[in-house]
Amino acid sequence: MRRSILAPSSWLCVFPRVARWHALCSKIETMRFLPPLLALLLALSSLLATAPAQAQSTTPPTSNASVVLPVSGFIIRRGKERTSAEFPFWLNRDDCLKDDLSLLSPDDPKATEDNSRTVIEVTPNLKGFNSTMNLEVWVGTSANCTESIERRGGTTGRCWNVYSKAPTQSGVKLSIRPRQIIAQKVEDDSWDSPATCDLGTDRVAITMYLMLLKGGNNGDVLGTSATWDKTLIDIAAPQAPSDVKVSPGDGRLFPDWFVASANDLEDTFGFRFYCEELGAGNAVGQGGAGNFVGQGGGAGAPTAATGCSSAPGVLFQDMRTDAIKLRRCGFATGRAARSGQAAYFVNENGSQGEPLKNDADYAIGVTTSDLVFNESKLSSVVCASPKQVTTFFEAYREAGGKGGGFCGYAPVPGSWHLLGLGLGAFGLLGLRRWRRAQ
Amino acid sequence: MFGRARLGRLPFLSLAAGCALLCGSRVALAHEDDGPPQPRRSRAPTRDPAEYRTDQNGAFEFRMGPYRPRIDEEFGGGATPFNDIFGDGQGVLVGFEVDWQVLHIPHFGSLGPGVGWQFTTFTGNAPFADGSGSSQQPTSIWVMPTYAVAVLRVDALARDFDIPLVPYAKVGVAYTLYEARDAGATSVAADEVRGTGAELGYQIQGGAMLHLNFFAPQAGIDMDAATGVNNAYLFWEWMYSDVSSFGRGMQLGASTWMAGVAIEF
Repeated sequence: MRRSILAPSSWLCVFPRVARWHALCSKIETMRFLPPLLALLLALSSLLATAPAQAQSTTPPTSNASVVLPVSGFIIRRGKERTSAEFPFWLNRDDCLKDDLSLLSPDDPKATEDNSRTVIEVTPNLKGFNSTMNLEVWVGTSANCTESIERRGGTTGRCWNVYSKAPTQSGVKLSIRPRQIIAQKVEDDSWDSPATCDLGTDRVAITMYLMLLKGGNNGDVLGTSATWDKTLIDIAAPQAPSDVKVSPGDGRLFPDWFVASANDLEDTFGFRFYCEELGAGNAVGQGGAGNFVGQGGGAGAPTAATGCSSAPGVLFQDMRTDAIKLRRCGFATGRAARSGQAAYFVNENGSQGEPLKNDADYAIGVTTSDLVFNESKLSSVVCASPKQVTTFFEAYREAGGKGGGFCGYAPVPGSWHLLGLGLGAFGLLGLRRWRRAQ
Repeated sequence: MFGRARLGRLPFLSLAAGCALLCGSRVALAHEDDGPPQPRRSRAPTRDPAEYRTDQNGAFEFRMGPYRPRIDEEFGGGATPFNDIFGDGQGVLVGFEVDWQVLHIPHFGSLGPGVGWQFTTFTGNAPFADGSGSSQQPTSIWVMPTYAVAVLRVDALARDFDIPLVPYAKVGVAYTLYEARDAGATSVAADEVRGTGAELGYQIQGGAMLHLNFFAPQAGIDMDAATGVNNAYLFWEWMYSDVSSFGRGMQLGASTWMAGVAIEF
């Protein structure tokens, strides 16, 4: 006798069976996934076990040591301080060149802009340190220098050490040399030369780590460390302008130049002019002696003196303006500037110096300056002689014009018309009131 | 039956009344003394525009035009320093004027004082003194004519006759400041006289203003309600001035035209 599957008794029999199968399957499935599951659990447990160990290496719960660096604790001392608009925390080529031990400290009263060193002064606040610890400053561009592997030398480490000393007091002042930072890899003394300043590094952001370490470079970081990330290395000099021409004016020269689009960089700040007065009889160029303007000094068009290379002066194309003391004679501000005016030599303190003289021969070159005052090599040098011109007002006065001299104006005799105007205004007012009353 | 007749006539009566109202309002507008001129358009406002208008007390003009001072006339043709350096072109004089419409004369116009300020500059290259041509050294003069004038605006045409023109005349005192500059600094002549000064004189202006409200009456009313600007105009005028401190200084007067936009508020 066959049972119908719809019979309730058959249902009741099926349920326990299905339940048993499921239980069995679960066991089998569990058995199948058990080894990888166990492996995963083991891996997780090992991770969890190592993580606290690493955290302990950077911030041990038992250490209360700390390094704090306020903004006021980072100063780059220079012969001429930069304002907040002049990126004072950025390192430029001049900072690198002025990192010369033969120069005077900026704090030295005898130090001037030209003979003083550039030094980075860092004054962190230290807490919880002792004699077994080392205060170290490491610098990296992208690496996390709190990790010991980044501080190892050779090819693995990406951070470089710029200071290491046992701290003796909480407000210790560290002096760091700009070249140590600019060189980026300080494994021997090769960094300590002006050649480091010609690496041409263009805008590299660095992070400085100030840490208390135990046991040297590869030791653990103790407590909390401080970082400084407001400094950039920018020692790349812009390209010099090309196609420089100069036109004479009255006691001044008007240089103009060309900047190729590839060299028209966003960080161009302006253009500097360097002049040199040439001695009498030193005229060169196609204009010959006594006419240094070159090519006969054509009217109107800018004159390019092509023969300046034999000028016995200090200016020559592609020279570095910091190589020797050159005399600045003007500046044109702005990336878009393509012409300017040189009327005076600029004194060392930035004030106006000796004016350019008419009929004297001058060589002039132009450099490009960027936002942090990196300066290009000198452009081609051209020559001209300022010449007297007649301005409009001079021509007007020479022709007999009576205008000019603000105080020369005298009231017109019989200023009755002004009185009349005032009376008229009062009359209008009275008339309006009368109209309103009406 | 009577009631049905009355009801049947109602639409015709309503239509007649509406027509009378519209026609009446148009007639009333056309004879309004103080209202802005209204074109005969179906979209013209049906209320008395005077209800919308704010008080009118003054005018403001933004003005510009060619300008060339008559400096060379000082020398009677003997010398032309201005022309030699700045050429024979015109400068562009840009400025503004503010008037106080003290007096409103019905069916005539407004009268009151006004003051103006204008500015222009001329730049050229200074020639070499030895006559070897022109240098690259810039030499320039800026001129700042100011004036105080009595202003008469005849707006009866626009108000009473729907002609969107407002003729006007101005006469008054001109006072022009100037500075001649040489490579970025005030010029100094060989006789040590500085190239800066101010000259006194007189000026006469006459012109006409095109009343823009005429072309967009509703916009004019909205503008008045929202900003207090009663009327807007385009204007063109002839200006003659003699500004040389009565022959004792630099002749900075000119004979030229000016154009611009004006508003009354």
